[in-house]
Amino acid sequence: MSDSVLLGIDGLTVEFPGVKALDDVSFSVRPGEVHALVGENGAGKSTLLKVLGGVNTPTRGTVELDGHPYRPSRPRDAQDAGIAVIYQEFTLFPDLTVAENVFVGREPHHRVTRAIDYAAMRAECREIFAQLDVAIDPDARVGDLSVSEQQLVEIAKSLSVDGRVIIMDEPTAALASSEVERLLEVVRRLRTRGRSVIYVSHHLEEVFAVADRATVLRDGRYVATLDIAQTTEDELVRRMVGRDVGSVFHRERIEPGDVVLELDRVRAGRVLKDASLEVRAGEVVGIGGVAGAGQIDLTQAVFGAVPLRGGSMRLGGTAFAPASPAEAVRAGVGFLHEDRKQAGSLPDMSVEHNLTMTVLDRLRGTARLLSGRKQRVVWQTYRERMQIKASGPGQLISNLSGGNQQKVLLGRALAPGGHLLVLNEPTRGVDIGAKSEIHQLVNELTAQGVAVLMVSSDLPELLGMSDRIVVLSQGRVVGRLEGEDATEENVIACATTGRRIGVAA
Amino acid sequence: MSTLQKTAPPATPPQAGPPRRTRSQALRGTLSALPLLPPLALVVVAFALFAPNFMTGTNLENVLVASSIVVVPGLAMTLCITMGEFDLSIGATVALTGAVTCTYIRDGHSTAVALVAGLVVGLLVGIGNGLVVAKLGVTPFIATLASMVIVRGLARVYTDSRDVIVSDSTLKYLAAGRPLGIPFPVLLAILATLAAMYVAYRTRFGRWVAAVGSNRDAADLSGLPVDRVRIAVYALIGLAGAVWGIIISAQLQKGSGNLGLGFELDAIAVVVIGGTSLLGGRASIIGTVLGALLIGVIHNGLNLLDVPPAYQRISIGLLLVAALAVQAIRRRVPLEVLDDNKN
Amino acid sequence: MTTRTEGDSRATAPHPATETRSERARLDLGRAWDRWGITACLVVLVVVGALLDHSFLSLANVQSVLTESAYLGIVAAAMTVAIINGTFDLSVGGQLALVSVLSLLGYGIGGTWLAVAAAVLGGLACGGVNGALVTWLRVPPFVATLGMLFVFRGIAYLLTSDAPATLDYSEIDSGYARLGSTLIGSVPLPFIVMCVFFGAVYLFLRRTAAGRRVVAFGSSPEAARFSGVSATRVRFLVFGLLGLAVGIAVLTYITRIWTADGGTQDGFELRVITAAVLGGASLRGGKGSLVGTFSAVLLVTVLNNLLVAHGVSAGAQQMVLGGVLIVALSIDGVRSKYAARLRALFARRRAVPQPG
Repeated sequence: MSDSVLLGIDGLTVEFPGVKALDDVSFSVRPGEVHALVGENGAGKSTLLKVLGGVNTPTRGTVELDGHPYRPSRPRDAQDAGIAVIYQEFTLFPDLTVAENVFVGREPHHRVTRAIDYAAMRAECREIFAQLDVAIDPDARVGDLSVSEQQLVEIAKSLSVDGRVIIMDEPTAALASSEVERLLEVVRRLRTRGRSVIYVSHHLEEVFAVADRATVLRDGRYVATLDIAQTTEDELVRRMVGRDVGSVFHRERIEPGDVVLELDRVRAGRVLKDASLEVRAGEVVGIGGVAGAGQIDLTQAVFGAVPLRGGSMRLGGTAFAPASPAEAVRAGVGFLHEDRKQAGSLPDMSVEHNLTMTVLDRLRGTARLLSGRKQRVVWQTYRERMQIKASGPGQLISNLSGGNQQKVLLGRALAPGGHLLVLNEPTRGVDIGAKSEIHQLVNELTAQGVAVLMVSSDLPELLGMSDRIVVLSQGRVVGRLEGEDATEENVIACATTGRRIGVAA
Repeated sequence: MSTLQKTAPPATPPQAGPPRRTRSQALRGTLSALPLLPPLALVVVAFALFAPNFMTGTNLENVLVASSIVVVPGLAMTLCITMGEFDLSIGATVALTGAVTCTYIRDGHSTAVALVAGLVVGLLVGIGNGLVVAKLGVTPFIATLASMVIVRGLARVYTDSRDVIVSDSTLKYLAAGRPLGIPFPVLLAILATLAAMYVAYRTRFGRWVAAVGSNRDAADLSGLPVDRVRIAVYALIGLAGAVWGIIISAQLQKGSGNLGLGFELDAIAVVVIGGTSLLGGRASIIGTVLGALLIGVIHNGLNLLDVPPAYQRISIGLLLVAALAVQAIRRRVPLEVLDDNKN
Repeated sequence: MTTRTEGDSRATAPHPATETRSERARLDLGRAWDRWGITACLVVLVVVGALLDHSFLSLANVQSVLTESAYLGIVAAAMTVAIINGTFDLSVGGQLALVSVLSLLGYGIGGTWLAVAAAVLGGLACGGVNGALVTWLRVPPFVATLGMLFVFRGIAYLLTSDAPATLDYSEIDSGYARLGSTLIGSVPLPFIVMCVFFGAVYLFLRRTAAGRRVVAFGSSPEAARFSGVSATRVRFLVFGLLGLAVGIAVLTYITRIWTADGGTQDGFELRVITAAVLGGASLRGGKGSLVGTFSAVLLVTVLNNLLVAHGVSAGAQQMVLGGVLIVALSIDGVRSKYAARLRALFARRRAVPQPG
């Protein structure tokens, strides 16, 4: 491995209104190297990938590829330059075959008859797959393949265009453990063939299994580039977190009351197989685990958005099996969705209309029409309580900052005044100020006796705000962490390796 | 400080999954049309039993001819639906192109020139649709709806709201001639089907059409010439509409601004009943052909039973709805996803 | 720790929305056009019409235009609600034919009251069928309503197989026939009904819980679902409203025309959707303007009135209508298509790399 530089990033800054996603980031990637990119949520990794992939333009800074300036203005430019980004959401055509996907837009064809040369495509596909030591049928329909096989098709695509830098964004998020090993083998083979790989992942054991160096980002800034052979996972974690967990989030525990929510061997959705837990009044129970471990299924089952396939639930002591979110709302469950943009805010509507959506039936006035005054009261109450910064009740929600939007949606979840609050990634995409305000609000709510179930991939938040932590892995509870057991290492261990803590094997 | 355990070494060498038989897209498209055979058989048997003269040679030939006429526009519409869009203006194109061709003949031009004129007009309408949709960014549904209104209006203006009656031997040949002993429309349908299969499954253009329908965003990102593909597909529909219009006018020996009313339903029904999914990405050429046969048989049988055309449309409408209900129920799509917003 | 990346990880993430001063001005202009554009066009058209022909603004002509606009307007209002909800109904023409026939037949059997009841209930029944198809059977609205268009017309044909349903001229003084011709202080009753209907729909959308849910669902079906909105209820409501609107529209229409069969008002659905879309309803859902639809309906009716008065043929009339629609939509389409590119252009100017 030489010291030469293939990809040089210098002073890269990306600013969005109100937020600096990347702040003066500089590092370099060598040819034929597997370079990991690590950092927590919000560290800026995905923004960096979008810049390299030609989706976003940087506000400041330069990128150089092989000594020449690299300034893609659209994704096609990145492809032409040999930079292939494999996003979590694949750029594949489910109805086309593997070979057609790999060669899309560049299909070899006979000059005269314009017929596609399927034989040539199949042959080259087989060759690429042989290089990667995997066997995938070039004529298989991509939509029929497993996620891990689809991922391999994406990789094959990037090899077929002679990609020099292959960037993988959380590649193992949807893979089973045997498939993960296959992927790591493929990454090693890519390196053997002289490609560079930028490997973005939360799974540090993968980073240590396959990477040569790792660059750590934190809060949009560059922290360090470490040689994997000369560092440890703990060191990496320390650089990623960079602060004492517990000092930022100030959880005020109270003595928990009666049991509000009980889950008994619940099976729901596509992943969740067996989960039992309980949440008491005044308690915050945090749920941890890698993406796809079943947290979403769990919270959506509680909210009636996915049906129960096994097990049972009780709310306030009585059997609870909501058939729809509407039923859950009526039963007094408040819910905050993790995807604010797709399933949280109602984009064309005002903040007041967004906020009052869950309590419309209570805001009627004369002649069964909605009372403007009552709506205003609700708006004012929550605006003050949560310090929502908006120019007025009629402002479009999409014009608010992420943090304020989240507050509005939180208000919407709270408005019915229920006893159970289910939060999914409550501070994702939210600035520091609003983050602490939201946490303060959770404290107030629990002081009033509300039970809180919180899913969070933000480890400091999970550890700082939860009274107890339940860790899921592959649809089952593998960790129940309390008190001294509630450490980062334990959460990561349970989540990524399936180690059991506080749970019978 | 605790250290994490390394993940266990791989238990088995990388598995490839069960070996899959090599399948071409053409085969897939054809297989997806198989479920159409039982209903087709059923309908044929029913009419054979209850409709007078259904099983005579002449009648069966009529069925074949009628079905063949719908095949050409059906194939073009298949491409459009595979792309995830549809064109409501084809019925109006039928009227306009038929009127143009007949008017040229009546005004003394040679039949060849008249035919070319009709085809060119159809092509222009199609290109116009394509430009409005691709370059001006108007939703295909509304654009072709508006186009339908404009083109039909144009047809009426052009003919001064009067039928253009002609008596031309070449034109007659298109409707009733028998090159190689096969009725011309049937021959045309066979050739068109072969061409469509080639284009859809073996050319880059055909694959790009499927790509656009399969994942529009990915198509943009992959650098495919999406605009050009869309315009080309609409142009093809315009051309197919012209062929349809010319043959219908040839059969009726007249051009009229009122021709082709409701034809777009037939064209779309033929494709959808044939199995091509409205969501796009998968073309079933054979399916469209079978769908055309089914619709042709139904129209023919109902005609023999003296059922007025309006009721025939009810049946097609119901059939369409039923076919989609079956599709959708099998897919168990949640209600929120079934919006036409994408159109 | 989960592995979801922050924010939107889709490969097609939009460019950062950096707004410069001139851009903000452009956006406000856009919003002004959204709200008042069609109304402005209507005013211009009226002025042009008056200039071309003095009798255009005569009381008789104005009354005629207002009367003529009612049935289109009532259904267009309901269609606007549907488009805001993210759907549409292609069967309204068939519904109009069928309900007209039902109403006329009802009069023959039981007089004015039965005729009115037949219209309203018939419309609701049609709406109910559409709603059931779309919710319980999960048929996509486009196909369901396209199919039902022909089914409704077919049933109307069935009912009038012997002869079209008609109202006899001798009944001209009946309450039924008066519905279409009465003036209330020189304003035609049909137009008043239209205004009242628009007002009711406006109230519905703005001031009722159900209406709010209809809008929310159109804005984001997912977010609405997670806020407790029932998709089935909302869709049934929307299609039921359309059916009801057709029933009421029939009472302002058939009471003047007096005859109906399966072919009545061919192409009606196109005109209705045209009016709604011209009025600013966005087919992507969540956005629509009743004021805009109202003006668009009048615009279309006035345009028709002018064209007919100047001897323009039916075919050309259609062309003009289609052309107007295309122009209006192109403006909208071009704006949204190139808005992203415009923003990107501005973003790039800001992204000049600094030296060193």
